Amino acid sequence: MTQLWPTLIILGPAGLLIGIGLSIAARRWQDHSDTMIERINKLLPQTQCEQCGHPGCRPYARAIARGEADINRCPPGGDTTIRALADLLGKQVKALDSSCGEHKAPLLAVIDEQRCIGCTLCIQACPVDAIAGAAKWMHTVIAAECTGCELCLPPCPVDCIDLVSLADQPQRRIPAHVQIPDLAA
Amino acid sequence: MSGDLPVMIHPAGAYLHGFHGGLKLRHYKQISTARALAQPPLPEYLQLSLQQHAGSPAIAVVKPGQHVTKGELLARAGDGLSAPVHAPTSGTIAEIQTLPLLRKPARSAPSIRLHPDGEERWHPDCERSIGNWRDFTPAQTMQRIAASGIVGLGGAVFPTASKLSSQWQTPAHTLIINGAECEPYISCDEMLMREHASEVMLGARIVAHALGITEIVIAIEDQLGALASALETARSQLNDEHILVVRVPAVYPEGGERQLIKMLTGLEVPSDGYPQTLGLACINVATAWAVKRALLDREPLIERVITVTGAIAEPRNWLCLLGTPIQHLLQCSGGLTDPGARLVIGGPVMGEQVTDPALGIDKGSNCLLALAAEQLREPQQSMPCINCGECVRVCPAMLMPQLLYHGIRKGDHALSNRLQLTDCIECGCCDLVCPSQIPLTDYFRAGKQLQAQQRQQQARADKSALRHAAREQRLQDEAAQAARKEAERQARASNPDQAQAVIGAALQRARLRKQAQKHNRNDTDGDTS
Ligand code: SF4
Ligand code: SF4
Ligand code: SF4
Ligand code: SF4
Ligand code: SF4
Repeated sequence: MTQLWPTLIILGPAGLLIGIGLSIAARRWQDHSDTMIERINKLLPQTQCEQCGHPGCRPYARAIARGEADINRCPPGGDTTIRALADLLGKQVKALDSSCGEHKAPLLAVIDEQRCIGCTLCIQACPVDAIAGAAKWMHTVIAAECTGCELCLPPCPVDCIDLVSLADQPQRRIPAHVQIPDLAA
Repeated sequence: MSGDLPVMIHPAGAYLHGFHGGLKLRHYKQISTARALAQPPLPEYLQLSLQQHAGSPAIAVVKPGQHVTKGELLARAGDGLSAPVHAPTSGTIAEIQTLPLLRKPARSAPSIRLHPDGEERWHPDCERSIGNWRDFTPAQTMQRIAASGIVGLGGAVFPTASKLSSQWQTPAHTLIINGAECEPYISCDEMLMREHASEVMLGARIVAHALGITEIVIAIEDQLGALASALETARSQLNDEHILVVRVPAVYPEGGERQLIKMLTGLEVPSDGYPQTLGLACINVATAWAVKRALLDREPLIERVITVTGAIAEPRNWLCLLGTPIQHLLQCSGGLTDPGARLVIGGPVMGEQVTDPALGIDKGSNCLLALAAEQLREPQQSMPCINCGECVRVCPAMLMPQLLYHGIRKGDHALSNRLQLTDCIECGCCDLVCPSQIPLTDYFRAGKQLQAQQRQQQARADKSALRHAAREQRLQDEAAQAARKEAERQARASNPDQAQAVIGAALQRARLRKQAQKHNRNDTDGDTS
């Protein structure tokens, strides 16, 4: 029994020291919120449409990370995004909040250049600078950059912006007998 | 790539190694090899797709109504990875329209319709001497191969010059000529070697010369004894002891590049690498033949051997102009014996259904197979997976098909990534052995499509995020600048004395500058006088 004492004398304080060290370390690196925002942001579709009620995807990610917003508020992401967020945050999967909008297939904005009067209002509205043009000159959408967020539609005074389905979307040729959850839309 | 690359201990082909999995399939090759190789009569029209290769479509350089000669350039190579298309015979361009691809109904590309005039007049470029290939630099040979529109004729249709010129992590040492067609029914390579053995070898030598190597291994299936002796004869005529003819066991899919390399060298091509990674080049026999014809006969790639077999009255191999309509080939071969047969390009396992028999054969069409109705397997009757592990046992890519299947069904892309879905060669072995008749390969094809789509989406999202951030930054900067200006203006307005002082100081500075300039001018005037 007496042989136990040296062990206790050495291990006791050592354990205490390690414990203190760990708790300091935990406190020191405790603030994961920044990386958490990044991880959440990575799962959002980056449409920047503001339908979630935040000025862009990253602000929404920040709100989720702080627990200020629910995970089911992104219509462009739809169920796929909700599932991914639930996975990451260990939350329950739930249906899309319909007050934010409906999930639909990705779109692309196209300006009818004949009708554009060059008012630049759409440029100011576009969250990803996907419109090129200058005052009193014709405007056009840079197709490769447009996220289809629809934010440029309401400001246009002559209603010359239309949404079309994404042309470069590869056509799926999956036989009918292959049943996979629909991840494409 | 991680870790050191494995090195060969024995020369390629000196010993045969096995590869994991695979199946012994019945051959059905003798059906089409009984008749000699022949050329079909000229069809009424040729339908030449400008997307007969991997990469971007070729760009037409001819116009409807224009007369072209045999071997003339019809479409130049597009941007990036691509290959040109040449006129298979002389005639008139009827029209250029967008048509679906022969094997991929969902994709389409411009397609040229050529009406032959029956004269078969060669383009002058094809009759001009280009000198001896031995004097060519590697770059010249590659340039010639590229300009002749040569692509991998085994079915991958990857532009050959690009394949051979890409990254060599290990110095090139051996050229493998793949003559081991492993899918049942397909005999075009066998026929080609039977009739043109020495030309294939010459083509191989030209490629080897361009790569600066001498060792050539020609791999054929082991039951082709007669062919082996034909090749031996050709080899002794060429008197080249660096050419080795190797007979490999007929285990499907030993004709797959990675499987063949494993068999010949015992080395595994890394998942993220190519044969070049190991210092090996691997091309198909028909490709070698095309190289010979491009470099010695100055003919671009305008024809290929295609096996027409299955439920066909007179199955045989045709030496056939590219663009020959499928229906013309069927007619020349006596037509279908089963009106309900399904037309497939390629073999019974990996083949793809013909979109429209009015379309022409392309560079990758090695076999036109008519699968009789009773040979078709209905896909609907699959049962749940019983985890028997048969698919794992036969998978030549050493994957776990049953887990991949579950991953794809759940939509779990992380799982299918971890299980290396991209390494699946879509050989269909797992399908064939699955007792539950699950169409596994179809799932893997679909899974790959979705993965590609997701990658594309992710790339787009990343870019949008960057652009959004950049815009936010710009707006912030602009606001900050406006605020600063405003503050300055207000400061000036609230303190007129200071404003006066600032103006005075500016005037003073201007005066000084003027004086200094005057001085300078005087100085230089003094210098020049
Ligand atoms: S709703 Fe729009 S802005 Fe909000 S996270 Fe989704 S895509 Fe981004
Ligand atoms: S162009 Fe219109 S739809 Fe496209 S990203 Fe800009 S604002 Fe959104
Ligand atoms: S808002 Fe409409 S009219 Fe104004 S610049 Fe944009 S497209 Fe043209
Ligand atoms: S062979 Fe079929 S049933 Fe057996 S484990 Fe593979 S998928 Fe499942
Ligand atoms: S199809 Fe893919 S998973 Fe199935 S056996 Fe072939 S390589 Fe393996």
